[in-house]
Amino acid sequence: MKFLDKQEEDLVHAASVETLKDMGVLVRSPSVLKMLGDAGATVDEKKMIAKMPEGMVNDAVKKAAKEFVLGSRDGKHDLKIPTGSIPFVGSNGIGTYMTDLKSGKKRETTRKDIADFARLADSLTGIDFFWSNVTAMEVPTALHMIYAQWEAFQNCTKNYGTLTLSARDAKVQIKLASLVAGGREQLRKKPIFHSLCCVIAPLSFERGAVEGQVELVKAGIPVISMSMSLGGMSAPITLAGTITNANTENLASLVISQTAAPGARHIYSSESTPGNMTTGNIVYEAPETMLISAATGQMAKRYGLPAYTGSWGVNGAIPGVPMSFTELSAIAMSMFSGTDIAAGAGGLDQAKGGSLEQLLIDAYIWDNYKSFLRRFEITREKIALDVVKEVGHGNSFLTHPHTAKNFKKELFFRDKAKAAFESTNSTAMIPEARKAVRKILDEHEVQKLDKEVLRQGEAIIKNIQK
Amino acid sequence: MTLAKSCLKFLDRSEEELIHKQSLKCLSDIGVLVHSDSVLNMLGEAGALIDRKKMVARLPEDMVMSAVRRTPKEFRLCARDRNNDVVLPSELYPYVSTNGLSVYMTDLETGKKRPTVRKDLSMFARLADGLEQIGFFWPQVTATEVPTDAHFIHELWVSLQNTMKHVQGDAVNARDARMQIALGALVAGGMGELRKRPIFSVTNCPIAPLSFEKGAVEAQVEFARAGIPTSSMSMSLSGMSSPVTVAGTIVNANAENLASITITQTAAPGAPHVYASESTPVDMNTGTINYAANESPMIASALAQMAKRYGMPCMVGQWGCDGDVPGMTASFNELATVALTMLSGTDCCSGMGGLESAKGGSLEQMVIDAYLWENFRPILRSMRITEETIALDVMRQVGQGGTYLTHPHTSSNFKKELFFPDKKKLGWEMTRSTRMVKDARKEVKRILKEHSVPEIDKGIIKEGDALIRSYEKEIAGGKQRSVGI
Repeated sequence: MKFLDKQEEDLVHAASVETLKDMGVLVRSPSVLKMLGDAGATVDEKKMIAKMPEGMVNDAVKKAAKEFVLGSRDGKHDLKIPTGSIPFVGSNGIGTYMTDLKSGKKRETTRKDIADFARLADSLTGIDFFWSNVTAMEVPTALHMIYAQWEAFQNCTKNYGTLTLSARDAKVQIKLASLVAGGREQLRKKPIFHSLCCVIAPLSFERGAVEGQVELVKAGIPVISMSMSLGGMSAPITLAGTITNANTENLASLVISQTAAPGARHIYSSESTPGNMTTGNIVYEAPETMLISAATGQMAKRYGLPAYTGSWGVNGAIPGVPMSFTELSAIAMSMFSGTDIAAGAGGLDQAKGGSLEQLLIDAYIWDNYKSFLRRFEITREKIALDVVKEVGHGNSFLTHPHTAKNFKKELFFRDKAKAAFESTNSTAMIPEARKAVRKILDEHEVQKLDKEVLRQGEAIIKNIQK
Repeated sequence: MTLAKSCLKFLDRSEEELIHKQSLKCLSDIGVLVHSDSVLNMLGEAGALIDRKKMVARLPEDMVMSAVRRTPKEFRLCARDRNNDVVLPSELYPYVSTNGLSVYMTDLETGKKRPTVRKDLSMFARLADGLEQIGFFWPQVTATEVPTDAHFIHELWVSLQNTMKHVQGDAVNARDARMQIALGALVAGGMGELRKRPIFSVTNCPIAPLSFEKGAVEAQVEFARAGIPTSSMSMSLSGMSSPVTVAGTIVNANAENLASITITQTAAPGAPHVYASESTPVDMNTGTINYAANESPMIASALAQMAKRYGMPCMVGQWGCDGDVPGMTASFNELATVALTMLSGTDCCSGMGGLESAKGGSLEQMVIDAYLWENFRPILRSMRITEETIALDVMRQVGQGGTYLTHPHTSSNFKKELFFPDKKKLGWEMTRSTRMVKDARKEVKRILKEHSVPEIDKGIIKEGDALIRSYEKEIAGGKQRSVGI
């Protein structure tokens, strides 16, 4: 998907560079500020603002790892990014409730539930990496991410994604992962987890998260600098302004990673959308969200960075697809942004909750959708002019061996059972459409043709019938 | 000022080049079968190599490329009401028309299927006229009560009377074409007026692979000479009327379009012509066209790229649910396939109101497809990416960590920048599947029972548990933080 032309892309880049240089970013950590100052940023210690010169930004882009692997415990589910083809999809992260599998009712979640989500994710072909869908509510808050990680490692062989809330948190996460990976060097070689390090829009970094980020990149753990720029709330309402804000935040975060550990594995990311003006919520299903995804995906490619600029998952208030086709399409099309990974499967109510059924539904819909994003060969051999010649004008290819030999390789056949449960059985659509038809037919007038034109026209038609 | 617009790009530069070169090779080596002596003569005189016995015309590269150069890059599919003109190439959104020439409809009162007549067509035309989401009109249903050879002319006539929008029809032969031109001239106010403002156009399908029927191609020549735009819709069905490979299908559809353009421009240099395709894999079981095939968006975007390369307006997308019964009976993924073809960069397409691969039509379906389009098309609108819309000055004023909610920039721009869907129309589109969650639950239970994950070494688990416990102690008494994304 392409949204920006070259000139627009240049403009967004230039505006981001200008923002970083003139306005800078707020970094609420003395240690990170000092690190940035030492590396060439202009730091205002009182305001905690670091202004980053263009050279520093370009340097960070140059140093960043352009390709790396999100490792798996068993080595069978390693994810090499950029994918160059179908993006990798993960589950949604850290709801505080789930719909109970037996009763269907909402309830708080525990470690045991994380284990269930992890094991289900492990089995589904539509899920490539695991974020803990829910939280272990029975453990102290500060340990939520630690317990989730530990349950995930034990119940899922796929790469795990976490949040990191402080440097201390980061250190424990690294230790646990080293244990499973077989040591720190093993972990650095093939990190079996990654972490989401959100930038707080507009243009600021929380102390805990940014210090955690520094620890993680030093240990070789990939980080995702997710900008959640909400148009009209934490970013300008204009699409161009939201895109630029998200891009600027990513570049700032990249500078932090590459200053802490040159060559760090860093994923460019945005889940930016227009803000819902009434509720203050993020609106994944807005038509503009897909455009922001496409633009930020393009920017990531411009810098040669792996991208997380799409999202996957229905994320409705209840399990199922309780939203319209156009809303779900808008979410789904974010996967065309050039994103390499995306999370979101199995979430409810904008990640406040989780559902095992939903994890399966989202994975199945993805199984049928992802083939849109596969690579095709456009070669002389595939064009097959020799076959065209053999078949000849007006004849059928159905019986030519070329068809039998290639159709399974070339075409994708949906799993019918999986497709069936996606269908819309709306009961409102037809009666309401019928009402609308009647109203239009009753009320809408079309200007009549001139009587003489009408007479002559009828004559022409009569004539031809004879 | 530039306008950003989302578009799927399928071919890279070298692949596009290959498709172009192979299409030219196909036309010059294999050529096209033209079942008309007069058109073969015309092509022969203009430089094609003709095999009279086989009725094959081989088109040399320079002949094809000079036809491409002669084709107008911009023109209008005009309407009785100028405000409804289809201006090609499209600027804001693609124009979507209705579906065409079905033989039955679901009755509005009884809901039952029945054959259609002129009166029904007038209703479809009037409904389409009343729905702003519909850009132009394909005669949706067939007047089954009139003689078969005369039905196109009846349909054009009924359509012109009942819609102020552009009408795009079909023709069976040169005589049919001349009659249609006469009718069009009557309504437009003379032949000269019709040429200036063609209020109707025609679809002329090459028959894949690489052949042209006598009647249709002779009609095409008549239309081109009268200035009536032709849409050369290639229906290359992978595995049936074109190679099963996606690349082969793209070349076949591209070659057929180039051949048809050559015919138009040889007959009347400068005649308006729309590059068109409804090419998709065939359903291997039934042998019917499979609009919901996963590969159809890729084929559409490749062909739109080719049309843009030649600088021609194109019609390569589809819109409409086209299920067996009115409503949205397809799965999300099937409908997504159809919808994605609209991201190809197409300028127009057809499909609203059809049932069962265009065998049937439904008035309710026309409304459903129109409303779906209303909510979908904002994704395809052009957006301004300028220094002004980037608004660095506003960013400076709001500052790091501040809010834009109260800044005047937000209130003065949000209605211009964002699309607010009609909630009621969205409500219809909701999936109310009664099976989904139930089936999913059964499947989850099965997996949790059966799927095992290799265990981590017990010693490691012990060590990890100890690590967490000691961390727990370390932070005990520390400030608790809330966790949330």
